[in-house]
Amino acid sequence: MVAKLVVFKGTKDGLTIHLDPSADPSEVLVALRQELAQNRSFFGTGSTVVINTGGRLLESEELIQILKVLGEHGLTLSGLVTTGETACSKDQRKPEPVPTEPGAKLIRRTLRSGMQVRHDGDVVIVGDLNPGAEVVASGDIVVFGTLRGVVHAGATGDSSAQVMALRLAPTQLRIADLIARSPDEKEALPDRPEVARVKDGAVIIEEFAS
Amino acid sequence: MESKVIVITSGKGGVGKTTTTANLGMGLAEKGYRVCLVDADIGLRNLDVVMGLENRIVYDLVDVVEGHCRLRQALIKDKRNENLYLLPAAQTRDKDAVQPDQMKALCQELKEQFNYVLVDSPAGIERGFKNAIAGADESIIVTTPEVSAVRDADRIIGLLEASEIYEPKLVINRLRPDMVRKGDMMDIDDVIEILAIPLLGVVPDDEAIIVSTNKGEPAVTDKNSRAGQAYRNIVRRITGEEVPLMDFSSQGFIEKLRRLMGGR
Repeated sequence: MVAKLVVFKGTKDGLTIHLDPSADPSEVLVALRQELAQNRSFFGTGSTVVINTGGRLLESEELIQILKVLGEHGLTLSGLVTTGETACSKDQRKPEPVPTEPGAKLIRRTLRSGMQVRHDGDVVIVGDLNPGAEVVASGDIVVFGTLRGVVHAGATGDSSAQVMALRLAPTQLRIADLIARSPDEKEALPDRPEVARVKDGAVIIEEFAS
Repeated sequence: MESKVIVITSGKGGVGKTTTTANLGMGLAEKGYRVCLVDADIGLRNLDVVMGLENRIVYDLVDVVEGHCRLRQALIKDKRNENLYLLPAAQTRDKDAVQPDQMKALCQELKEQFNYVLVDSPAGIERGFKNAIAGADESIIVTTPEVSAVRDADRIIGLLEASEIYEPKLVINRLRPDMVRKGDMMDIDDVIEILAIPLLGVVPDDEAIIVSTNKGEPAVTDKNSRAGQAYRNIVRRITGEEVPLMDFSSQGFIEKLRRLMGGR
């Protein structure tokens, strides 16, 4: 995965935005603006977010700019997190890079109608994903069961993301900014594992071959 | 025996919760159990009408909860079966008139006097639903073989789990075997595959139900009604008997003839 300057991460307290501590502040700001614009669907307007500076120290001017960008997308900043001692200071320290590689989330149950999972990283479900349930992940989505609901893999723009299921029959399947829907005519359930991925700008579904 | 509070719920409206509550209640009472039906659909009460007891209501559930009367005063004894009682809903109030905690206390009090307390839940997932499930030990999900009803049932199962009411049992209502055979209706297996909960019974679509509902006579007492037979089977399963599912496959000439002759 190419290192991104800005990474969104869902936590139990809400969304955390990780800023690459080693990148140029102005580039980070541009990336933040782009990512927010591309991933409007990933968070609701009016949400609060936490900024993780990853040990870098924000200049006050930079903080003001970040607040402005967040405000443009209807987000409010609820806190700053850092691995250094303070997140916003004149004190000059060597920035420490923090690992921002998102992990996988394992769900050992069937997701029923009305349930929703959002995760920055891969999502693995051991159980079914029923119609009316929804999974949004920035990485891959794997369902060890029947996938009948709505899935969005690579939700932050990663079109190399894939969706796999033992029986793949989604209501709607999205990868990055592409949307595929189930055929309007009722079809028999597939009897073997399948994988959906993006090929030549379209979502294709093929038999899973390891 | 241990008393049980069972909530009968569906999510979607019009799938037959009230009819199912009335029939199972009457069926259990006919088996000799002491049964109380609770109409939790405050503001849209129906169970009293389906039971033909509307004209006997003096006090209702909200009166009990608000302390305007004692529980005993609000309970209406059924006109056919002395084991069966109804606690009617208020018609002039709404769901907010009752809190889940109050329902829980009410169900506890009823449990001391009855073997089975059946709570008829309103449609939806809001306050009325939360009230209905507040005091429940077990649940019965009613659905019809329609995609929308099954979708809502699935949501309800998830919400029940979240409220720590596990292992709901399923009643599939208004199945039309002829339509299933032609592939025009979801069959039992399609429904079970999505909901993945134990099947308590399947009730065939039966015009006799509409007649009996309008007359205020639960079909479970009608020996000639196929739906009534299905409800009698469900009652036996609730009490722990093993009863095979009714056979819907052969409704040919002989079967029709047998029904005409009054057998089954």
